Amino acid sequence: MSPWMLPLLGLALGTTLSLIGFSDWEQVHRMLTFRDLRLLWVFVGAVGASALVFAAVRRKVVLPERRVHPGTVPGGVVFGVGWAVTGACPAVAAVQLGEGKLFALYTLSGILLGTWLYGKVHARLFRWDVGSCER
Amino acid sequence: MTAYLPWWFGATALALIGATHLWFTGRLLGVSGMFRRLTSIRQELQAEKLERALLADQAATEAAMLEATREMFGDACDTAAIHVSPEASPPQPAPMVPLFAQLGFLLMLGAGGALGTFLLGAGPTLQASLGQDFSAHFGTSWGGRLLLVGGGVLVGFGTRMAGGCTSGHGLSGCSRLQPGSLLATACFFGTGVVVSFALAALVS
Repeated sequence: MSPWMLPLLGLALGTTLSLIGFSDWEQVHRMLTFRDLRLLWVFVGAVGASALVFAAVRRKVVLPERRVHPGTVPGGVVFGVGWAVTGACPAVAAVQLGEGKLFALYTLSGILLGTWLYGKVHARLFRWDVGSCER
Repeated sequence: MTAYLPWWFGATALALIGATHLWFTGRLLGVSGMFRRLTSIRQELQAEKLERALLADQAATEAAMLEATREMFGDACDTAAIHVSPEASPPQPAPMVPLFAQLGFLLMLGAGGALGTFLLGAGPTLQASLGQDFSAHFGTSWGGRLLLVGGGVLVGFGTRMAGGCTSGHGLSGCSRLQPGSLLATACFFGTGVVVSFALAALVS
């Protein structure tokens, strides 16, 4: 694989998220309060289209399962709170910074801290199997 | 208000990006995983090095596995009769994506944000806020900034706990009807909705 491929894909994803307004706090907030469902249709459409792709390649590639484990629900809930407050999922925080929204630096610092923190917490307190080696 | 592109553009682009990622890396797109790797760079680089060594010398790997089999089952199996047949082996998961390539991906996410602002307007505007609506909810002083750090901590913590984010679980997982992804997505969407309504109520 060419070393340019991943950076190019990052550029494509970042541009897409910016162009559709997924990196706009107000747009995300409008979706999550059902005032404007446009971003929801983006999501549903993307999932639907991806479903066709994955169904077509199912027998040719090994793709990891995503089982329910004890972290699934609390993790989802915690992420949901953070998403509503910051308007950002991890990718979006990076996109926002590129758009000039300096406040995204606060979000990004938090994301890195939270990600690192979970690693410590899981090692010390939780013993459940996440179903993979996180690879 | 900015004229963002219609839903079908986003849906198509996201699905294409996911598919292209799969085509070139053999793996699913998931951004929270990239952030996770950044928090343990040394281990990740070590794991990549080990994986390269394993893949590079298949014969040594097979010999080691045969030896381990021999040790485990001893006289119970005739290991001389075992041979590894590549054609009979199931397809293997694709190797790890190089960490530096993923770092490039993350940096280019930012570049994509800048490109988006050029395509939609005059380019990036350096601003000490996240927009008017954010400021209306949280203000522009330290309260808002602290909330962003705190919220970010929740995002990082929660996505790693759940094992994915909107791309990993939402896009790559739900489209394969994976139960963990469906449940995680329902949780973060549902919670996002509840908290957003609560925030809206606080403002009005």
